Amino acid sequence: MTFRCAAFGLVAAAFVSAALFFAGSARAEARAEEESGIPGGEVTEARGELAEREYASVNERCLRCHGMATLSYQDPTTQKTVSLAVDPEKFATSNHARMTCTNCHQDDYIEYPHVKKADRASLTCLGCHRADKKTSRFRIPIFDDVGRQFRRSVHYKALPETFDCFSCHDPHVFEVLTAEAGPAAVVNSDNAICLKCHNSQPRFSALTRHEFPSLKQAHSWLPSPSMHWRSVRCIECHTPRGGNDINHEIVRGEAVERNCVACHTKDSALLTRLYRHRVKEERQVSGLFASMLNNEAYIVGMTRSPDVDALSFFLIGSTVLGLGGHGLLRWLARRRRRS
Amino acid sequence: MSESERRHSRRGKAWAIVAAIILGVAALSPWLYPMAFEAYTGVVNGPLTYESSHKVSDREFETVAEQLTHGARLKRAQEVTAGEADDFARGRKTDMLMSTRSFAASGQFPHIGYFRDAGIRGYDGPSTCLKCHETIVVRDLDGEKKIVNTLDDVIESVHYKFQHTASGFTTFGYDGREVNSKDTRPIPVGKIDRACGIPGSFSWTGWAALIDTKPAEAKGATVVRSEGCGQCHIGGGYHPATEKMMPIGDVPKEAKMGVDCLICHSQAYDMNQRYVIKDEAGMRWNQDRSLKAALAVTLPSRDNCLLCHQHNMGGDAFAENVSAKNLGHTNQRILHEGAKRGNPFSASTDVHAAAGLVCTDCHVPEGHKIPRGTKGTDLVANDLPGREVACENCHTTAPHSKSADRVLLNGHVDRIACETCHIPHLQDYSVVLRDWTHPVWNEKEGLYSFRDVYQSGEAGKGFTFLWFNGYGTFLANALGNNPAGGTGYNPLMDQMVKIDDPAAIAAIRAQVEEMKKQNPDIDVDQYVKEATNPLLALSPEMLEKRAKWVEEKIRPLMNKGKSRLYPFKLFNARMYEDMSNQGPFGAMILPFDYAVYYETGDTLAAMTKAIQNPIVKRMYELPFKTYMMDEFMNYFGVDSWSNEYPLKDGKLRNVEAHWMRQMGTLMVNHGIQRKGRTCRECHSETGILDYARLGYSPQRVRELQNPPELANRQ
Repeated sequence: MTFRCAAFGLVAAAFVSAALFFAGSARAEARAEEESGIPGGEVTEARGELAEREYASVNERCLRCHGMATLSYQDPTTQKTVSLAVDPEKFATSNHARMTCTNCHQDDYIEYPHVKKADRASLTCLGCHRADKKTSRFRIPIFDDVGRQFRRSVHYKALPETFDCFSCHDPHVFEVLTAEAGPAAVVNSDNAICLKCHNSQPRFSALTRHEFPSLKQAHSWLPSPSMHWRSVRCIECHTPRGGNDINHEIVRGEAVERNCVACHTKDSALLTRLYRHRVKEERQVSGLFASMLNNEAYIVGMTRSPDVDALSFFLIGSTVLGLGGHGLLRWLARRRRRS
Repeated sequence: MSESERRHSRRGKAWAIVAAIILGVAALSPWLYPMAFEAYTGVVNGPLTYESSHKVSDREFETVAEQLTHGARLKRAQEVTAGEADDFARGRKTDMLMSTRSFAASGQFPHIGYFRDAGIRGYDGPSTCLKCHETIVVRDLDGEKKIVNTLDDVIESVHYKFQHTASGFTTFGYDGREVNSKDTRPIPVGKIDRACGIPGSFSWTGWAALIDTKPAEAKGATVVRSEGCGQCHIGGGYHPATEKMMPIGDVPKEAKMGVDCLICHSQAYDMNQRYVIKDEAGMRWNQDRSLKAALAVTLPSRDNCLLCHQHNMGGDAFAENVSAKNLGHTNQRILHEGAKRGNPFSASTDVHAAAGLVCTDCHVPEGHKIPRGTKGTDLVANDLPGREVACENCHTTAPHSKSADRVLLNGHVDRIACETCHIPHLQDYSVVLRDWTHPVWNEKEGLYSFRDVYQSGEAGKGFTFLWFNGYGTFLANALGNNPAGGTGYNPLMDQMVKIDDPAAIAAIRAQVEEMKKQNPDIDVDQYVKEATNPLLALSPEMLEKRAKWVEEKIRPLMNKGKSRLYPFKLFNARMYEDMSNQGPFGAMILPFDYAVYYETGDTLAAMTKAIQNPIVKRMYELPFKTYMMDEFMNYFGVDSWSNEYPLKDGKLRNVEAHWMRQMGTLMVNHGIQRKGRTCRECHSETGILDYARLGYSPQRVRELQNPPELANRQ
């Protein structure tokens, strides 16, 4: 799950302020680099010195190795390939792009070979993002709710030890899509998070011994499931109604809303979530009346299909014109005959 | 009968005659076409018989079977006891093993029983095999089974016809078009006509030759030796599968019966049977069709493949090359100096061979089609395009598991091919520069041989490292670019053209000075300049055109896909060229007649004789020009094929000797060592990777030459 509409502003604000803060120090560091003439990558000793001097280049320096797509090892106990790679391009567009690696990974990692082994358990999203100003470095109030919701979710209940934020969200890639991206892109990107495991037996089995549920079978009650999957996020149905729109309380299929009319109605439940901004936009552009008559938001329009709408308008229009014209001609003919 | 009726019946008769002619021609075409084809191209076919093929009595059969079984068992026993240093003890141990019941019962050749039961008492080539193996079951990668006709499967394989008219090449013309892709008119290409010489020329003019040599040992007497491309090919005829180059027609049945099944399938194949024989129809290669060889049939082993393929890996000079030790019972084959790649596949030189792997473990066949992988720089046809043959198939992308630096080493896999670190060097006698136009007298062998001006197996000299995305040009130049993009990396104007290593230049100069003693007309300075920068042969206009084409047509191909750094063996040759067919990337090379070349050392006479071969002449005529040569030359970077035949009124015209305008870059994938290179071999200012020429920015070059991680290491 990711942030949605309500969170956009908050997240953006948080990151913009963080970014401004770091951009300032980064500029200062860049200046220092220019003056000293030493590019960051060549600093070899004295990690303390490096951490002080060179914020912008810390990432560059880490990514020299961690940017290698195949930086990985085979774990001797699990036999699995563990990747330590961070895609520099994806990181650059992620919401954490303005952070330095050492913000989260303490500077023990600056030297090679690294003294301290990476400790994933000590890192959590809530470690930085909370409502409380004092304990939170990058305050995002909604995360408190997210934390509570997550603890009620099927994932946490089934796997309290092994399932954490990073099971779904890679902080090096994580990117909140803005509303402009459009519902299709948002649906695609959010569902991809779920499908990473729910569409891959190996990944699913790596986490749990539960039987790998077939997506097709589980959704066989749903008419044309693939169309639904393209158009709505998994979490629209798999979270209880009424929560915020980044509700992290994922529920099992049995607890899911199966009433078609809950969504397929003018007063659709979806309007409070994914498609809310679309309705708003529509009203701004075409006015309240037009948007009610012919809004393009999926399933809540009159026909679902703008083409059919256009065709029916055309047919009605032609009929009116035809009838009107016919009447007019008859009236004109009669007047001439009279005169 | 009225006038009109008469006219009508006359017309009817005329139509009937035309129809009869058409039907007659159609009915006769299976006979007429091959006759017409042979008359036009000058290739010959005929019944193929072999001395080693004859029937034996039941008693002789059992003797041969017993010899074979005993011999194979003894060989295995000796392998087991090889570790025993004391001769006597080793002998005792071998004897004990040989009389051990379980050992004696193992390792039988199943065909002894099959032949015995079926009453087969002699081997007669494919017809014997096909008695039982008319069809075979072929499994594709998904395990899907398919029944195919065995003979067709072999005949359509690259091992038989060395060409494909279909797509599936990893090669691009210098004009930017993928060979035989959608935007082209498909033409037959492959080893049969790959662009070293007029298409097909060497495979026709140099298929099988008998050479009169005068070795020192013979004290003036003549010794006949065999030479030619046919020695490594499974077809037994008088020429390669020339018929397959045409859009219609097929290889005649009698030629198909010349397929040498046993060279790939017999564990007792005698390479001493491979020599040139001469009969009424012409010259061809003999083969081992003995009953003994036939009884030892199995699926191909590593030894079978290496009978031919060690030649272009380890070379003839490689100590463990089995074929080079069995040159023939008569008309012995001529050994070649220098190695094409110099990376032998054998237990002593390759970790996979040492581990007992066989070729087909990685090159997993589908019937008689054998994949060569999805990457290739040369124009050799591929039976199974798209079928991977790659280290990662077994080793994954995280192959290092022991080293403390394993994570970082695995990180390199994204940019560096395994071969780059794990093939530290090639054999010293790997040939880089070969001059065919200044032959040298070989006292020992008693013949004139081409001269290797420079041999080296060292990184940066005999081979170099280039970006490679799996594709190559028409003349075997690896394509690829620095993943950061840009135009800083430009091998067709740089690494593949210039030899600038001072030690290499010094070695070349020394060799040229040696050559001058025999060829006083050589200008040493000029020769060294041309050999180390063949672009000097291009006019300024040609050079400009070349630079423009590289950026416009080749650069987009270099940027395709994903590039990694691979090692490439470098190779260039000085040969005669038909300058009427010159483009910015080279001119058409002219072939030699081996007998004239080796016997007289008169290179011009040898070339003149070769180009008079009927089919080479036909290449200069309109039908072949239209059918394939124009398209071929387009790939070559030349607008059209000039059919100005280089020989007019007995005089050569427009023929010059030149180095190819760039070195060929040959993939090296064998000769893998367990221990890879050390960090500093690449990451230092004097390392084997020239980062600047590989297209890295100056800052990145500094960083790569001296990474902070290595600051505290040796």
